[in-house]
Amino acid sequence: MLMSHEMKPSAGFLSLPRELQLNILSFLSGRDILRCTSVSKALRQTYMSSSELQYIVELSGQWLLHIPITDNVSIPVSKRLQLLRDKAHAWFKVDPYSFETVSLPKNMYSDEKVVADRHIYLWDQEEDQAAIIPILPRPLQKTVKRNWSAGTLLSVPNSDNLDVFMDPAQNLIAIAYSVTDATLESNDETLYIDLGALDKDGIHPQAAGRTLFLSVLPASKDKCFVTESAKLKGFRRHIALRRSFAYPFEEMWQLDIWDWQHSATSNSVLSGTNFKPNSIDFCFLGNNRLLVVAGHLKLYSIEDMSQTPQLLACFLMPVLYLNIQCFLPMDYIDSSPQLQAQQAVYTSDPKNKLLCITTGASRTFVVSTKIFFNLEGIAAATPVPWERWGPSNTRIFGEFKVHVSGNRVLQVSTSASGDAEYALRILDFSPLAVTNRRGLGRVVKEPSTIPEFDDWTGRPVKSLISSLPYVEVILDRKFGSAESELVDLWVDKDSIYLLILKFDHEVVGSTHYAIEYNELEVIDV
Amino acid sequence: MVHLVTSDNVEFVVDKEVVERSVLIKNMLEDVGETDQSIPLANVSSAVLRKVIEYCEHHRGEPLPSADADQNQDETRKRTTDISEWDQKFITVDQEMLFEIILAANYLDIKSLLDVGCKTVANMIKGKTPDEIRRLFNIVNDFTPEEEAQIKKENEWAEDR
Repeated sequence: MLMSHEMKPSAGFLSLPRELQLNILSFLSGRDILRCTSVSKALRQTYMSSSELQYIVELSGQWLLHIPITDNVSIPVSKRLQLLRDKAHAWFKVDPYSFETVSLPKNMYSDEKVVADRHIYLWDQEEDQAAIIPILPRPLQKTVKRNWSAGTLLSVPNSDNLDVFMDPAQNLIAIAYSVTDATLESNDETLYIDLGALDKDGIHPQAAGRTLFLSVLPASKDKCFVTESAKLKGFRRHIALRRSFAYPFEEMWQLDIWDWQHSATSNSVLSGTNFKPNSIDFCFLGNNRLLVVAGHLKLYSIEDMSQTPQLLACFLMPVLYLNIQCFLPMDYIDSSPQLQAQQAVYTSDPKNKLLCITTGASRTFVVSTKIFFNLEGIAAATPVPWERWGPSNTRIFGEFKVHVSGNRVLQVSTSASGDAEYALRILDFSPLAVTNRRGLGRVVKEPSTIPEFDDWTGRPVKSLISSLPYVEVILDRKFGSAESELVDLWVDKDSIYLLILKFDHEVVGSTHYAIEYNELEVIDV
Repeated sequence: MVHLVTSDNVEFVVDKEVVERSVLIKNMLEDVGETDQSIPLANVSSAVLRKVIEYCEHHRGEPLPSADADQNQDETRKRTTDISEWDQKFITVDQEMLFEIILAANYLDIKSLLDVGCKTVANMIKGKTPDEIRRLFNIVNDFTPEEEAQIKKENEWAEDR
């Protein structure tokens, strides 16, 4: 017997009870669920009746991953959905005048200030001092407050501090320093990276050893190298040190990567040369990928730490840049049970985050990490030209003070009037932001064009077009005055942090001394 | 041994251990105790029950998911549509049978089988356009062109760009 199309089969998808339809759809991605909503009215009704399906769609649209709560505290899906939507919406109406101030040590002139995991850490290379200060800690949050005065940071006397890296979430402090043997004429240099616990003296309990050992430079058998600059970065189990060496006409660099909880030595080493003064930088992309930025972007797999990182792809930049740097703060979920018990926890999907590349010519490239995870049709040996990957995956800005977190960018730009005042902008690159902004902010979908100059010659070379869509919110507050200046900024998933340099004066006897000090303003979203 | 009678009046005699993968039957047996009386399954046909028993036989002895493990598994369970090789072969049936198995697994309360069925249907939907989904399940498009255009616009962001 033939069954006509009009006739309902005895068991079909739509004849299933709604709970079973929901169960089936809940296995799908946000995109597939949305496609089902345009199949028929009945399927659309199924979707509209389920906060769970809407929750999956919301998570995928905000490019978030849900961190399962292992405790018995379970928030209903409808409540979680509401929390997510409220939070996303709150970013469009941040009140820049509602902030709390955290004072920073006044006697410390720090070369480096980093905000991580609701802490700020400072490092003063010259005076050999460091400090970590909790920023308005949440109830039950694990905090670390410590101060390393001159002479207490390094375990070997007469050494030069190269870089300090602190990770409050893992209770880790890593200190890279070098000792030069001045008694010999050879200028022999020994490097150390000490792994310590952040909250108390001594070695980190999970570290494979107190000190990480560096591999010998490939060219150092007959020559002496002295480290000119170094950068220490870490993400979860990985830590890496980039060293650069003075070399006639060009610069040599080496990058050693450790799995610091498992081995104090490393076979995972990259090296190369750059024309001076080109620089090299790197960042970790999730747990097993490493991006090395040296003129162009080279993506490596560091899954197997017993060997040299494997080149996966090379993405060409439109112009050869000087002084190129990249940063990608990975949000880290603290594993302490108290923190998780508080509420539903989300982390941004590493495959859909933003990476920030800044160049010497104050260009900022905001890049979606998506391209570094979808390598279909890309061969390691064939560099991908800028035109193929760049414009659609990037948005280029002319401002230089930028910070990114997840899919959001916090940016300082000069005001339109061209005076010394600065304005703050929040940009949201998540796809849902465009549809769920509820009338706030400005949607930017059209491509933007920025004139580009050759870093070497300063001549205009070409115009750079970029078109990654975003929503922009300009905060109604201007910075920069005779009393204060905005010097740095950070953003994470809850707050905006503004580092303000304050100008004041001190009267001692009849003499006025001009003084300046830092304050951190925290705007909770 | 347990006696089951299907909607088309076929009697199956099955090992207690096998049939107790069904929480419904397990609870029934606990309530009535040892009995030679057959259990009527008015919602399940013999063709479907044969498949269900085949599944239960294969998975005999495997631990049943406990009720409170449910909550925790929920989040991790959702994202994965992986199905074991045997299950995949087992569930390679025509669409009508597939939905009948899902309905039976739901009625008999066999969670693992229900998941295998639902994941299989989800895998069929994965990556398909609305039109392809309509053709797949023989669903009539009952939107007006205006409504369809509006929904398409709302969902635009989720499509690759």
